[in-house]
Amino acid sequence: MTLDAPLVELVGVTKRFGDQRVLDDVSMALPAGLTTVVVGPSGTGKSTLIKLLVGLLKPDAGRVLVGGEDVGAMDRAALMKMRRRFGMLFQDGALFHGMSVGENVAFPLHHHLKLSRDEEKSRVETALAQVGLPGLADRRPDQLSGGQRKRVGLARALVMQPQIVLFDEPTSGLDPVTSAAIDDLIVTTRKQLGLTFIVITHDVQSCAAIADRVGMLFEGKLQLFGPAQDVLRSDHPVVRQFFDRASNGPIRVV
Amino acid sequence: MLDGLAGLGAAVRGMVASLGALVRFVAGVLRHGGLPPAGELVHQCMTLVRRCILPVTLVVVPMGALISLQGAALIQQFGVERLLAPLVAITVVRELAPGFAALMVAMQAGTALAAEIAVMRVREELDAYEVMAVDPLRHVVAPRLFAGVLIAPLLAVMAMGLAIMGSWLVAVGIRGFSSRAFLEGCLAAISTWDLAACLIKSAVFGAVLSSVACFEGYTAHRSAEGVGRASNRSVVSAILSILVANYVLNSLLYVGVVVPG
Amino acid sequence: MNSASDLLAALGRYTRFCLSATRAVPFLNVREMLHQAYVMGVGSLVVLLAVGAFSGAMLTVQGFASLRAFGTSELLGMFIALGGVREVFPLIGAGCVGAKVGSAVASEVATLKIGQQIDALEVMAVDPMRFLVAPRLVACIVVTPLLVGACLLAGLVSSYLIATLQLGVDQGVFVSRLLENISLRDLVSALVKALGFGMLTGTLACWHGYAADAGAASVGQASNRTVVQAMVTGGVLNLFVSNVFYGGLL
Repeated sequence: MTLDAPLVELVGVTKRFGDQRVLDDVSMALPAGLTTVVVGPSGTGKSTLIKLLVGLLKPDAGRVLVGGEDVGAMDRAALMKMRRRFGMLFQDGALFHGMSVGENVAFPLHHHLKLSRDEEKSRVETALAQVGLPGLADRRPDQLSGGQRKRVGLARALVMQPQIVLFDEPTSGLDPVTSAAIDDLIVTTRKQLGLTFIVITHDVQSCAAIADRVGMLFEGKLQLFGPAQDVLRSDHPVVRQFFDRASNGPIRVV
Repeated sequence: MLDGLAGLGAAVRGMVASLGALVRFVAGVLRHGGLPPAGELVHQCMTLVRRCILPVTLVVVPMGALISLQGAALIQQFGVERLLAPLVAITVVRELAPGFAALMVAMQAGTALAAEIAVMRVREELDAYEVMAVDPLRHVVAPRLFAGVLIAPLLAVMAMGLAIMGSWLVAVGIRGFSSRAFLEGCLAAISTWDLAACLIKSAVFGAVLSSVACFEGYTAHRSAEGVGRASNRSVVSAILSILVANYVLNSLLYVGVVVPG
Repeated sequence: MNSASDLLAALGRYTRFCLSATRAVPFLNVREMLHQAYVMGVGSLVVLLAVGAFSGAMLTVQGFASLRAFGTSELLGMFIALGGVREVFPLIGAGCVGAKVGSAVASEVATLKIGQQIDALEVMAVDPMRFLVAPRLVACIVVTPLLVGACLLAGLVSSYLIATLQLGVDQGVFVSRLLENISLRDLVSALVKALGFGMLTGTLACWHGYAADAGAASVGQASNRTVVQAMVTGGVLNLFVSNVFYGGLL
């Protein structure tokens, strides 16, 4: 597999909610080993896209391919197996409130691998150190700040050493300094571990800081997709309006 | 008037559809989930006991006292004092213990359970389970479901003892019945079949209300309102289901078969 | 709640809340109250009728089986009057209203609280006690006896049907035994119980809703606490009212 070969691919994917086409015949090839960022105005189907990738939703038309296999055609057992390739950071971390930070990060290890207590502990500590939160294993999620919760969520997503990590709006609700810290974390972690990152966001600055590839979704359609510099500098009116943060243009504020 | 009837028709159709969805949900849990992991099951059982023990006690003891109160007045009117103890015993074992223990469990645990799972839905914790390839039906829902079935009979037995104690306090402590005669009368009136029926009833009630609570929580809308609605619907559905089940079980266990005409 | 002092502190807060709510009642928003009463009443009517019907059915079957054992099955009508009308129907009916209306109001108020809508009312110089709490409280107190009454009627009808159609008891005997054992005292006692439950439910629901602090979890908590506390205190209330009307306890 070459460095740029697609690991994750959407082929003509359409998804409807009621009579609204959230994704309309979207085709995208997300290359391995790079950070792909999908941007777009709120409610344009970015979260739907991520859920389709892990099989939390099924497309109405088209195929979602992971490593060449059709996710939509899998039975539950195959789906569970496929998900082992992924790690996901949910919007507020989706940490389990009934457990401590350490137990949260250890959770996938606990369920999928048979490690000794010490091995588990050391992998948890490594993961937490990787996200800049060493020694917080005994805290509880409601004792953490928003930024810390996201970082713990990332640690949990990384602890099983997945091939692909998904990020659902990683900087939402964070102040500029914390956002920048998360951006740095994303960039360094990917370089260190050589993984494939797929990020959805509407934070324009974050996108510029972390992306290798950028895709712009608007009105269910993929408006533009390509290397980050090309997209960011493009003249495409929708892309331009979004990245220049302008209120006038093809993107209507309803 | 026609609107009202149409509304009623829609309501009934809605209820039947929900019932179907509920049955499919439980079947799904049992099929995908199978038996829950033992550690989680024990934890849920303990939590349920801890939550319900005080409410059940506080409700059932006054009820027991009430039976003695009403029963004693009635019996003294007819002059058959020796019937008080059996009356108490039978009412407690056949109806009060399984029924009210279950009702309290429905209210306390039902709302808490539905809300708990609904909140997990809002916080995307259930999605997180799925994405980490750990089946939430097996690890989150099944333990709570089974805990209901196992703990309800336990609480019913406890309720039996407490209700009889409440009755005893009134009959013996206040109305001056003989303690020994009362307790002996109670024990004599309870047959093994009655006890078995009590346990069967409460197990059925426990299954019903934990299914309803888990179902409402699991299918809740992702919002604060969704949590509230899950909680409300689970209480009402649980109460109604328990009453319906109680009627059916009474017919089957005590009368024989539901006789038409 | 872990200790007696916690309990007393909570009781103090509850009492203060009830007093504020009561003070707001004369100024309450009447339209809001009527709207709430309609929603509560109409929304719960079908459920209460069903609850009454099935309570009656289960009581009748159980009563028949027990009386048959003593050889006195013609006393079924009396059993329903003394067991059902005096105790079971008012209690289950009021308890059900408490559960349904209580959890609905508690979660509604809690959702408003965490959505900062109650703060918004205050900032707009609208008193939330007059606009939100008092209307719901009064509506609850007014509607509960009506719903309990409906429950009672449904229970009696259902008892009659089950006794005569399923169990083959003689119609005339059943009805005469039933009627000769229902007195005005029973109906007044049911009314008092219903009013009491209505007051408990309304105050607890609004109080717990108001106390919601953060996020979706506190909505569930408000609902849960209301329902459980209403049932427990209601049970004790039930005992005292029965004692007042029928004597025998003190």
